[in-house]
Amino acid sequence: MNCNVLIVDDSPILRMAIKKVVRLAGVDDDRIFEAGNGKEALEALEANWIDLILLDLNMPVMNGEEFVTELRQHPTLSDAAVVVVSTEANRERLDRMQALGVLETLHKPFEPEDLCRIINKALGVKA
Amino acid sequence: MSQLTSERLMELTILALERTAFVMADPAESSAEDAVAATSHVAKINYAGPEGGSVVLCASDGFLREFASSLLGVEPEEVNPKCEGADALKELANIVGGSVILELGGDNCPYSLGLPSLVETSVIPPIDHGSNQQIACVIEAELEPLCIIWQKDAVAQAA
Repeated sequence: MNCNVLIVDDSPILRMAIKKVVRLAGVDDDRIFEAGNGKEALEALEANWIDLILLDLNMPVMNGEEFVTELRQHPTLSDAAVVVVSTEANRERLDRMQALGVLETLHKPFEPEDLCRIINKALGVKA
Repeated sequence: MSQLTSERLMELTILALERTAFVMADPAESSAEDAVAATSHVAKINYAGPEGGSVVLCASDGFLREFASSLLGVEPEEVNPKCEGADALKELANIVGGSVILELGGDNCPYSLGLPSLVETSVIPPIDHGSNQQIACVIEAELEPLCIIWQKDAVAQAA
């Protein structure tokens, strides 16, 4: 699949687990990028074309909400596709993320099949 | 708001292990005190909301290796407990904490999670079976125990 995916999560071991599912969805290994927080994610986006961002919310340095808020104000990256993959359950915060235009929210722990389906749907929407 | 039970706390943790790392776990027969005594690694996550609280995970070295190795797809002896093991336990605390606040708050959940952290075994709260402010339960995977302690803030402050 000729799409680039960015995984943003402060847990390296969780990024690895998510990466396995992204591979299962058909994304080549060299098209999967990683970032440990929102700040690193912005740097990755400046350096690479990204079709889909899989985003954790509760992260140090720059959290997921701060990241998407900044992303939406960016002159060239503002329409990037974002799917939230997080333990976040707070209704108000999830509503704010929806208002910021995230495509979908997947609550951890998730079934790998559900993430696979969401990735395929999101990349299909982009294509 | 829902009330959490020991059985539900075990179910949520078992589901987290199964979905995240394909680790099959079951309720353990050993006591929380015995599981705490076998603990070598502890992760804690706090939450805030109408009633603040925390979730503490107390893992044996064997449990930590079992969980991290399943996540990584390597053998348990290849896991570095202080590196991948610690990261895995923090993430498990994050996931169980998220499941707990969703259980307590439902679809309109008013609770917010903090960030998980590793803490010393000396920070493990005393087990109080008679308290309605605390639930402690034990599950095991490959005979290795994991003690899960949920408690409301009043107990956390007193401990």
